[in-house]
Amino acid sequence: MRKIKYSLHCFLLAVFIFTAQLLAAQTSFTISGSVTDAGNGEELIGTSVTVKGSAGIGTVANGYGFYSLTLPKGNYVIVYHYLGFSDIEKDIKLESNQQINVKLQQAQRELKQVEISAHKNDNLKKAEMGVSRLDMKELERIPVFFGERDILKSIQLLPGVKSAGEGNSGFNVRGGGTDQNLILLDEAPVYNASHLLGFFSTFNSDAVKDVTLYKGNSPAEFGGRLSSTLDIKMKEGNDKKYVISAGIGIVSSRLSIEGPIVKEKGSFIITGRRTYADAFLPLIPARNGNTSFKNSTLYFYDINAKANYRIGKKDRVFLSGYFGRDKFGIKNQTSFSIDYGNLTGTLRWNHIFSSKLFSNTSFIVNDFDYTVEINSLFADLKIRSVIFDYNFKQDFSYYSNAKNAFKFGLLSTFHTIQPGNVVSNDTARANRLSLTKKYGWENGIYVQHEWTPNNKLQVSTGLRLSTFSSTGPSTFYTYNKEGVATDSTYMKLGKIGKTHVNWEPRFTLSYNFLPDHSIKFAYARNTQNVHQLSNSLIGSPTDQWILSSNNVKPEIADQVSLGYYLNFWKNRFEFSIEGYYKHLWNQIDYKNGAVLRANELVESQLIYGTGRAYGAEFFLKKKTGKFTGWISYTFSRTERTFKEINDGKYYPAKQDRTHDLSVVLLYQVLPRLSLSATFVFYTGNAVTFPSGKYFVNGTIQNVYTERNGYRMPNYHRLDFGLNYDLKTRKTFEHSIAFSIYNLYARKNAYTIQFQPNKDDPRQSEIIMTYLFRIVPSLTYNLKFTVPSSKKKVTDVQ
Amino acid sequence: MYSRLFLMAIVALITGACQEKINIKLKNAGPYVVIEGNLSDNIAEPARVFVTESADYTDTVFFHPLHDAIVTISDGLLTDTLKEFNAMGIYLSPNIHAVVGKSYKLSVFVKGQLYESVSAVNPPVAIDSIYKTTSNSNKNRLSFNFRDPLGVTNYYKVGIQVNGLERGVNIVADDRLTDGKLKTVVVNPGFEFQANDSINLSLLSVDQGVYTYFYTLNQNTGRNSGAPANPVSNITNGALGYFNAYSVTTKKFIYP
Repeated sequence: MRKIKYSLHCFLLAVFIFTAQLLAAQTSFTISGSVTDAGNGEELIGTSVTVKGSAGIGTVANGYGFYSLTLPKGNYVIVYHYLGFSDIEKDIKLESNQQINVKLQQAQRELKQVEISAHKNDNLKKAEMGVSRLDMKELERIPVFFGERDILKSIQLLPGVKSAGEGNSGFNVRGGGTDQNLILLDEAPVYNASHLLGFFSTFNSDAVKDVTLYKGNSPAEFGGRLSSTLDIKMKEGNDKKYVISAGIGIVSSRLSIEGPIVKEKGSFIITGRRTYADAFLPLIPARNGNTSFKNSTLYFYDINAKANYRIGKKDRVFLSGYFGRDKFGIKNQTSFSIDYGNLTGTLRWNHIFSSKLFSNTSFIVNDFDYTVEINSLFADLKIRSVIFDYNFKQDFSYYSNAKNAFKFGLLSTFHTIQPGNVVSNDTARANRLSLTKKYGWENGIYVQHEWTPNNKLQVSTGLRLSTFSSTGPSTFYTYNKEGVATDSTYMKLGKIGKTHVNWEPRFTLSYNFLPDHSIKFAYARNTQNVHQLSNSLIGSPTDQWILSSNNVKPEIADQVSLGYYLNFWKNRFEFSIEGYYKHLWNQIDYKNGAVLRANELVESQLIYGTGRAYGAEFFLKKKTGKFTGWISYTFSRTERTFKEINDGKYYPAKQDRTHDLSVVLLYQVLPRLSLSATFVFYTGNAVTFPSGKYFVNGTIQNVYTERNGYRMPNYHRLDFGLNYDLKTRKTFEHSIAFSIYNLYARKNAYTIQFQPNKDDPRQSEIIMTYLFRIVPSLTYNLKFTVPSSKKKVTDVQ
Repeated sequence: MYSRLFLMAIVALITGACQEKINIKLKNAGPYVVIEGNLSDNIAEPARVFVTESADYTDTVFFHPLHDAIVTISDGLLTDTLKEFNAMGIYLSPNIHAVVGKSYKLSVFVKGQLYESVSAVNPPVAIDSIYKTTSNSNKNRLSFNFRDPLGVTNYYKVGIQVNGLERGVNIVADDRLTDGKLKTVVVNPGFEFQANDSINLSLLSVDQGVYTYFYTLNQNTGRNSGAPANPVSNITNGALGYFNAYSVTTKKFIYP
């Protein structure tokens, strides 16, 4: 408790210093407002707002499209720029505070190809590192898998981001685990971002407006995961016209409806998606008399819904939600089913206190749960697990002047975890097993200062104070060295137990030393208090989450990175090299033979160690022209050490891949026809293979000598995509998207097994399983716009 | 375990996964000493200890016998020395048998190293009934029921003889979720039962160390296991294998 008090004092002192600085401002006025897409009213997040002729002076529209720029009295030309839109220049005579709401027109395709301008090197100036924004337009053209565009699979094509496996939406960032990514959908954390065992992500790209990935150098407002923050923002919906769009694919279909609630004041969007892979199950021929697929279920669906409304000029409210479920089941002598999904709800209130002070208040709930049912000879039971969080978030942005901006706020989360409870329907066969619910209260207070002393330098300094407290009602255990519970304490409701306090400094410096060159340096500390225990190769929805406690310490990561950035050929090309070193403390693994499921004493099964990861990421991107795309290459090492594994020596983590290359090529052949190709190559994962065999209990067993001492074969794959816009009218657009996954039918190893030959057990075999040969897919997309009653119809897209 | 297999089945189902034989160059390590000791309360079964060494993965033999080991089993008062029975590395003694409630210590001195293990004998549990079942893919299986004693922690291992031949199955069970219940075990060996097979099924009451050995051994067989490792052995000094002093009940069954 004392520690917290001390921490709070320090924090208040920091706030005081910042405030003192604010008061020293000169006589100047503020231009503020919002930037939206003239076509549909969507906010254009990240629009740059600059002063013509004064390089380095400017701001960027925030996540709600709000901007604020304070300048000394005078005459200015303000330029609003957003990629893919025509710039707007406004002449302003600044003698008082002004509110200017800007609507940018989407650029015509032909225009887009020639637009090149000097101020498009924001990437060089901004004090942010290891940040990638997905261009949703680009995403539409990348080859897809089973006809579904997928943001999680697309970010895997970026440097430093690795796929968790074939066709999998799980990802590893800079050597982190798949559970070390904070995935936010409209600010709500999503615990399991995959459908259908990872083959699809939970995010319907029709509903998504903006995707930003921070690879370990997140702004101080984000916290709670070690390796990355993936900030996904849902579309607001068209506030001018009703639009219906749909996509019909081989295994799934989508439908989306959006439109104004009150024209230009409020809008809504609802998108839904469902797969029907199970419609094909009865077609699968019976193998070895196996007819079980006939009675199987296998599908998922999800719904995104959002509404927003402007109350006056200063207030806006947003309500958004996500609901998705996956259902699998086999009915036979032995019936088995899994039903899992996420639910999120976010209520937000934007308030503009003044032209300089912007506030957002959010109430968020999120839930992930699964139910497994087994009905067989030996059991008739149900296993159910729930993770539920309440979150309250308050963020302020204060745009002090053209050189200083501040962000500060807090996030308070109350976690409830119900580990897998076993409910036996047949009490003659199995007992009920009720595991203690776990509660945790997590808090983060942060302040961040963005400082632009001159047009070459930008410095971002942040500090976050993170606390995590175990709370009652719950039972906490104490273990001895052998992992045997020696004591247990029951804590009543409202009691606060073990509290972990961590300071997380964040710092980024950008130095734009030559017009087209810059170097950047960053340091960040992140901590994590929810941890996933996984003992499977592919992540399973039933992998358990645990909270920090009296036994489990928060995971901590320190990352330093250094980068060089270059824009060349009149900003047509972007090039960057980023090097990073990351050290991870209190990493969690489990003992050999650990019992993780349905175990009240699960914490006794864990071991703790450290990790290190370092690498260099190369990125070359062509941004404009008929021919666009990028090449990303990462050289990296990821290692872990645990006292109990490999005699405490560092060994390669599962996700350690020395080389990782992605090439994405997009070619606009004709205005209506585009082609695309992606190529991926990476070093095989580190795996444990046997180094001998022996005979025990009448069976042949393998001898294992070291953890992850071998490599899977190298992975590579080429995909191809074609997009063709069919004849378009003002109110109706339609297109077809054709993709081929794994064009040259590479047999990429999914698992490798070592087993005796069935007919001659003296011979040992090595069997490689691969998932896909060539996977073609076809999707038909259509979009219908209800004609506006106004005379002038603005083009949609 | 079961859910993992299920997930793999789903993956295979969605993707039409295929398999192929490949070659991988493996580092050959070892050899490692392997000890397998069994001491039954059935006086018809001699105490037997199998002392071998591991083989290279590509060898056509899967073990190398070790000779001239000094093998003893002690109940704390009396120590019995087992004699090498044949050239296969099997050491036997008809003089010592497990007694419920007692603990036994196995010592094996071989290749200049001493390996030791202790195993405790738990009370026997009777098999209730045996019957034919089929798997989802209509494979012939066998299931049996027994009543788990209430209020005590039990660990079980299954043994099976088909037409007089001992078959290797690594099935173990505990009563963590089934204390005091009528428990069903499905015997799913790597082979199919045939009609008229004469089956001798045994239920061994084992201790936690033995259960953990087989539990961890089975974790490696799951295709989806993240990082396989050698099972947790109850023998000291890094030997592979286990020592099991147990009580046993058996029941005959003619496969229909």
